[in-house]
Amino acid sequence: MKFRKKAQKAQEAQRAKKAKQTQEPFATSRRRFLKECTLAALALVASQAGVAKPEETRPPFRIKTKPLTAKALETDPNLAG
Amino acid sequence: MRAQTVQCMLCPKQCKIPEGRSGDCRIRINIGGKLKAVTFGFPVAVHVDPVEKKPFFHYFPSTPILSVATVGCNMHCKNCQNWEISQANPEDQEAYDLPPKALVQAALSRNIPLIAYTYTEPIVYYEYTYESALLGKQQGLRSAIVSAGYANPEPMRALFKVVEAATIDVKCFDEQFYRDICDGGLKPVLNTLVIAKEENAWLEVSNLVIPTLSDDRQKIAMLVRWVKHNLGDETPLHFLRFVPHHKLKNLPPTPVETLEDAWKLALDAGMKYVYIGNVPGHEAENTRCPSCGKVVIGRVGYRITEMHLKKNLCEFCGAKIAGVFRGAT
Repeated sequence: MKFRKKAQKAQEAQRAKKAKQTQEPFATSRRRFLKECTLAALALVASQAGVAKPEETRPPFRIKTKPLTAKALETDPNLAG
Repeated sequence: MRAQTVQCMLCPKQCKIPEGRSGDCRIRINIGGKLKAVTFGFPVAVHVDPVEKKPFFHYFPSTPILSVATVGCNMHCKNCQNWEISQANPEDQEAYDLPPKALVQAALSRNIPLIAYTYTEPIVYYEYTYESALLGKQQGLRSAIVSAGYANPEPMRALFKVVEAATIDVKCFDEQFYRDICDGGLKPVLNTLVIAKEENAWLEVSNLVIPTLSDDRQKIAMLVRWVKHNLGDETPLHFLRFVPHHKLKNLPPTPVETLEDAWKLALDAGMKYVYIGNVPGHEAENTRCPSCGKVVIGRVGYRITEMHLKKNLCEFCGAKIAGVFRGAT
């Protein structure tokens, strides 16, 4: 029992030592933090630009057109007036 | 009124139109808080008709008239013969790209001296009618409207400064008929007729006689009396035969006897020029000189068979025939 506890403690100490070794230096983490902030800011600006819809420049529908031919100009007996 | 909602003041309905929606006529739309007649320059029907088809019997007889219409109408008559275009949305029908300048050019290039705004309701596409008529007038063309006359007085008065002739269809001399069958009203129509007269427009009145709905003798007599008193006995009056259409296909065509009865009633009341329409070959298609009684303009359908006028005078007795005739203006 005593032996197992001792081994566990040693293992934890080793893990902590390893974590300390793999930890990034402060400068690196700061750089990454700033980069992430910049990206978030850019994303925010982009999303806000998307919210303001571009102004509609044409009516919400389109009138279909057809060419005016000599045949079309003939009297239509089905039309009153 | 809420922001972005606009009110159209063109006709008595005075629609309050929210953003992106149209008025009752379907073509006057609120786009970005501004009212726009979206069919401006986009007629769906363009035909060269005889002027008699409008009907105009005393306005340049036997002359071709370039006739145009966009979709839309501010009334919804159950008997409408042209319902496929009058009750259509602007985006549903193919149209011709014919702005006022091109329309006037189309008439000039074919030597057609007259343009009619007809088939549907020229009042709802008011801006197109007005601008084209004004441009046409500047270039020597004459303009006419065929309308139900259901409009507010101010725009009509302005329109008659550029449009010189009108056939106004009085549906029935009965407010309830207008409400139930047409979704309109009689009083504004009568106002339009008076305004046309005051503005010296050449005016003809038509009345579609629908069996069981507008064939009441008393109503016809009231119409005749009103026309005689307010517009004068020289105003041509056309009683038109109903043919089943749209939502009134259950009714029969008007019996010719009913039309003849109306015709006689109007003549007996002292009206000088009374006609029966949509009965080709009927005697009541002819114009008789009110003085000597002889036929001065003979017609079969829309075709002129004989003409006995010297300018605007009867060739037989020299009496003046009311109207706007070639060489007499």
